[in-house]
Amino acid sequence: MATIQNILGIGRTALLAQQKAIDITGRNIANADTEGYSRQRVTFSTLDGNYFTSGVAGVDIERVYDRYLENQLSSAIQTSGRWESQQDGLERIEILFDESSGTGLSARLNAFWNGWMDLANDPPGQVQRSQLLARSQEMVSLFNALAGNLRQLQNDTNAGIQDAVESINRISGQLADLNGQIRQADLEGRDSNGMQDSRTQLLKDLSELIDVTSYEKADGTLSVSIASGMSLVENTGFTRLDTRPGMDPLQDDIVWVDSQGNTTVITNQIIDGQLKGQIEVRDTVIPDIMGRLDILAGDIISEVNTLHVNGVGLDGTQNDFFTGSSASDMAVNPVILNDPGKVAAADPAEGLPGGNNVALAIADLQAALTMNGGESTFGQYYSSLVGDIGSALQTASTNSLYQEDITANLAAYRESVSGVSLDEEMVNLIKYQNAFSAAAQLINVADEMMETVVNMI
Amino acid sequence: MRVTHQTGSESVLSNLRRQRGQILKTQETIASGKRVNRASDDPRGMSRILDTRQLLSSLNQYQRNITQGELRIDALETTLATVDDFLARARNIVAHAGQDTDMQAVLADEVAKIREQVVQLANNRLNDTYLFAGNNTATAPFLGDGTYTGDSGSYHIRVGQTSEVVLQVDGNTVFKDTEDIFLILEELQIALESGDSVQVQSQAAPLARFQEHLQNVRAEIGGSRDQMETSASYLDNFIHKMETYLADMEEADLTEAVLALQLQNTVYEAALVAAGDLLQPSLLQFLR
Repeated sequence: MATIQNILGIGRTALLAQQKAIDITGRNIANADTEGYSRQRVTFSTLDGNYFTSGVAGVDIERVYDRYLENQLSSAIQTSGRWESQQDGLERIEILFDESSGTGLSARLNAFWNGWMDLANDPPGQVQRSQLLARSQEMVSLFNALAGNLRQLQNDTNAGIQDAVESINRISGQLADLNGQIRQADLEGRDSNGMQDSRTQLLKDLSELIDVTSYEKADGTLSVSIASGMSLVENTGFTRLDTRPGMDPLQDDIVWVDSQGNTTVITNQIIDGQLKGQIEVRDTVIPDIMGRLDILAGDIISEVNTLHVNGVGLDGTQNDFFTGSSASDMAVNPVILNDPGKVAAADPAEGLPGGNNVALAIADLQAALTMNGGESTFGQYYSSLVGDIGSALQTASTNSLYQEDITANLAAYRESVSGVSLDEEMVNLIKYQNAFSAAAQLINVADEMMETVVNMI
Repeated sequence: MRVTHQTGSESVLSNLRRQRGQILKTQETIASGKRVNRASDDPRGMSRILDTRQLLSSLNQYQRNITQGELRIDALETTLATVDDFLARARNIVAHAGQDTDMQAVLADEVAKIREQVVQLANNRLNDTYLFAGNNTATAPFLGDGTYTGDSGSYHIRVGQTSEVVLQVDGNTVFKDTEDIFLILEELQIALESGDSVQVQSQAAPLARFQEHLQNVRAEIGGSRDQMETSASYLDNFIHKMETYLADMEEADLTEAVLALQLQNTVYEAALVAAGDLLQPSLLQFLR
């Protein structure tokens, strides 16, 4: 039999339930723009109790979330991070090899060879000799600057890798902390939805840096490991990554440090994320370009020197034109710099100062097929280097853009599942508000009924 | 699919960003006038552009070589023409020496002067280098007595990657090898001074042979000039073609770029309007 008290009880459960629902709606609205927030939904269920307890059951708060989608998003973010950091590195390299204004290495190489031709036209000419030395200096200084800037870039990238490793450690630590808090909250029956959102967001931040795999265990903690299966976060503990000097001082190894402090080098086992992109730039892209630049500089040095040392200067002396053997240590022989007369234009069989066979032979090197086993000239070797840098950047940009699209699409899907729709929340708000008013009305009616009964006495 | 207000604003933002990016790129193209502003715009194109610039740079150098060579040829031609004029005077003296025996001392004097002039001409310089010294260009090739101190070096003018013009104009070849003009003039002077008219007449034949030799040398130099002029016009043509080719590869089609910019601007504005429409309304505006 329904008693008036029972009606009051129903009204009370209804008021509390709708109030809770409005509270959740409020939380959703407040977090409409919070990154990584998953909207929450209340589910009501009827309470079929005895006389004294009926109405609506305690509301259940559900976090609307698609674990599979989140995983997909994480892996898209990893690849996106890899290409983005590769693109970033290559853009900085491309700036070094700027040839658009015609003042790059290509133009300076041309000026250098033409300087020899000008000298051949007037071998004793002091102006031609000084000009040739000035042009040689300009070419050499650009070779030196390119080598130095590439080295600097490698250094910066190395520092970037150290920063990334630190960030990974920081995120791992936070994930381990959250694991503990979530497990505790679950044990105590508290709501852990907010913390789970934070954890999902942190996992995404981690994915941007390095490729990870993760799964949630029965106790609510998240296990995270890197690609080679080494654990990063387990229960409430985490394993540190570290960097240590490698073979080259600018190429630190990334190591995994186990609980005993033993280290395992994992540099080559990282296959995605910003870290991978940075490793590629540091260990593959820059050394490749540096190597080709060194070959170019080294071959120019040796080809020019071979001809030059067999020629004679105006004073009859024989000298190397260049010193050094690579782009970084290339220099014009200081003996010649101090005395332009020592530039050898003539071969020893010719008369001085009018002989120009050596100057002609050196000028001819411009068109000689000296590179790639006799397939290309110095100039072509360099222009194909510039072309390769350009196409590497093009590839990285295209991939980066493509990954960005994929990530955006997945994020939109995620948003459509977990995102807050203000329209929806407004509708809910009205719905719950009306229900709240109705419940209040119910209590009013019960109260009046009670009064009526009392007045009957 | 549920579309939340954040989905909307995200996609509006990313579309606007992309559109702005394209407009910026087009503006760069228009401002620089170039289609390829960095290697990644067109990597293979950039390689070809650099190769073409290198080719153009050496073609222009060949043209500079030719200008230098022509300067030298001008100097040679003028010098040798003047030598020829003096020798015509010497032949004239030989022809008329017999008619006027009183004048022989004066004529001897004139021949001495001619000889002096020819030595000076043979020691002519262009930009501090002696024209007829072979490679020994720093010292005057002829002493006062007609001794040659130069060598047999020739002058090479590179007019193409594999073609060159060679001027073999050392003093020995020009003034002494066929007939020694200084010796001829000296003997003529001695004969005139001693009044030996037979000796005077005997110089006529070598003098004529030398003049003929000089004509040959001048003709050869003229031939070199023709060769260089042919090369120069070939180079002009080639450079023009390469420059056109380079422009085709490198330069932006301005009309196309401006049209593209206008289209992009229109799209951008439309996107802005759409964004305004999409972002504005919410249920909030219609409640109450």
